[in-house]
Amino acid sequence: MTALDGNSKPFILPAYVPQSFFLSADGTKVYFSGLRGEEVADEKYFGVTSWVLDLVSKKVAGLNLPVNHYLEAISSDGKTMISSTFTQEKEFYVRRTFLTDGNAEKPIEILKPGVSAFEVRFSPDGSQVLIHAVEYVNLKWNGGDFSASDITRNEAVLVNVVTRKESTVESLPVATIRAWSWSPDGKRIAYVVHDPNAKGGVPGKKEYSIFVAEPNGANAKLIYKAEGSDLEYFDWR
Amino acid sequence: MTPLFLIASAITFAAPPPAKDSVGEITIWVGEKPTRFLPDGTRAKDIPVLNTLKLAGINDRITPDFKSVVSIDYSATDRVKRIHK
Repeated sequence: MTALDGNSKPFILPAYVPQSFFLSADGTKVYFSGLRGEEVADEKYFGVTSWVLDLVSKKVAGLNLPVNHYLEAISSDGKTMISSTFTQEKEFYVRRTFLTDGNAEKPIEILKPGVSAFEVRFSPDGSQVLIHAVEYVNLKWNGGDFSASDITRNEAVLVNVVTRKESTVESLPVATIRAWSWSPDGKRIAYVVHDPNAKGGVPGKKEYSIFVAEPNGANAKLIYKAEGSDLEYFDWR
Repeated sequence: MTPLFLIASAITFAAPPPAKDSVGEITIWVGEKPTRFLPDGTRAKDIPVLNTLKLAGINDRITPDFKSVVSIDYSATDRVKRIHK
């Protein structure tokens, strides 16, 4: 954790190799998946465990997720989680996505096997999850990166946490969306669009357009444009 | 009789502030500077940041008080040796 103005010494959590993490809504906890130790051999890379770091006490406690589950998102009350697994089946890797709530004995699979979940964001009340769902064909792990021979699904999906019903959000341009976030009241979403193939603009700078819309993508309105190098962060709170 | 400018001042001061907590603010960090603005795109203002601070990418998280950032130092990952630190 680093002060934005550089006026204090950064806090670095030792003895863990985090691979994914999320900051709680109140900023007091960091939920993360990873491995113990200062370095991890590649063959053990997928054997992750999940923890929660209290930023006040600096203590780490276990999180109620099975081994091999990557934390993808956690609700603002910390009770419901989305996680994913990577399992090798013959020569290919299969990614699965799971939902765990406070009452579940074990994670419940959502989406379908082979679908990767990106940009997973709980609505503020925890009742819905917005997911960028991508289905890769022949997913391979090359000791550093994944590769696939094709993509057969690339869409935004809203999942009802209670019923686990999935609804495709067809009007969101997922191919060019870089990030999204719910509004604090959960009635709208904001998303960032960057088209790498767009022509024009300032050389060396990328253009990012921010839209606000209803969660189903309706009534999208361009509200802001930003230019610069890479997108580092996006949030609405 | 109350001067008109005093009535105008009273009306101005009595007006409620923007409902920031319910509307919230959007933060985008592109390149070297994070910027916050209202969800209609107005009232944009930059967040002061140490100019040498380099983030690891889109998965970084800014704390609610906008004073700190939590990140993973991916630069410590040695892909060549297949060792992830």
